[in-house]
Amino acid sequence: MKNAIKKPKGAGEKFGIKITVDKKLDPVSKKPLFASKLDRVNAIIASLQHAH
Amino acid sequence: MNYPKYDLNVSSESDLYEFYSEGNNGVIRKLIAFSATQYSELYNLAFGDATDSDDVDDTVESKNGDRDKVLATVAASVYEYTSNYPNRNIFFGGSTPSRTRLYKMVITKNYDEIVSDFDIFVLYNDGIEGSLLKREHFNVKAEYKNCVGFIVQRKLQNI
Repeated sequence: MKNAIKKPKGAGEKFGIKITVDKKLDPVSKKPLFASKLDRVNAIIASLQHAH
Repeated sequence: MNYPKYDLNVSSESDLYEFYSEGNNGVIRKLIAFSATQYSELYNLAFGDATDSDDVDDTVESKNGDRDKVLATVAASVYEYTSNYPNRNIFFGGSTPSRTRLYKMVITKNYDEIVSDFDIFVLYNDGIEGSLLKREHFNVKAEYKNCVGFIVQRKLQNI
């Protein structure tokens, strides 16, 4: 049986900043933001000597 | 990361963060996105200025005079994201070599605090043409001239 993991601290608990869920961001999060950068990241990981 | 930070707005799935940088050039809306890569449990962190069409420009230099506060806020988003998705590893690198060097400098300066919560890996090559990238635990004393990015992995505790 797997051990249960303690939930790590989030930014609110760790730093005392306010974190507000804003559903207006949901459609934006579905957009392919930074898509070209993601291609670059995939290429970087692919070129690692030891596959991730 | 004992710097002031901006408050964050977050999408329902905690994969997109928004904050407002306030400085010399006024108020600038910033977005931080965590996106799946083609590798299991590896997610890319990217951030930049929001455009009018809700896209993101990660090449612009805002010069808003609050760089440390912005970077500390981005770091805070990593804490928040990995609190929600503790098994996801986060890749980040600069859009230019100088920005990647800036991130290296920030990690070095705040290493003791970051390493208490994350394993930190650096991706680099040795500068020889055709050489493959290497990944190793970040060492504050190493130069990593040809560094292309970093991966952080949240340290977890059993209950």
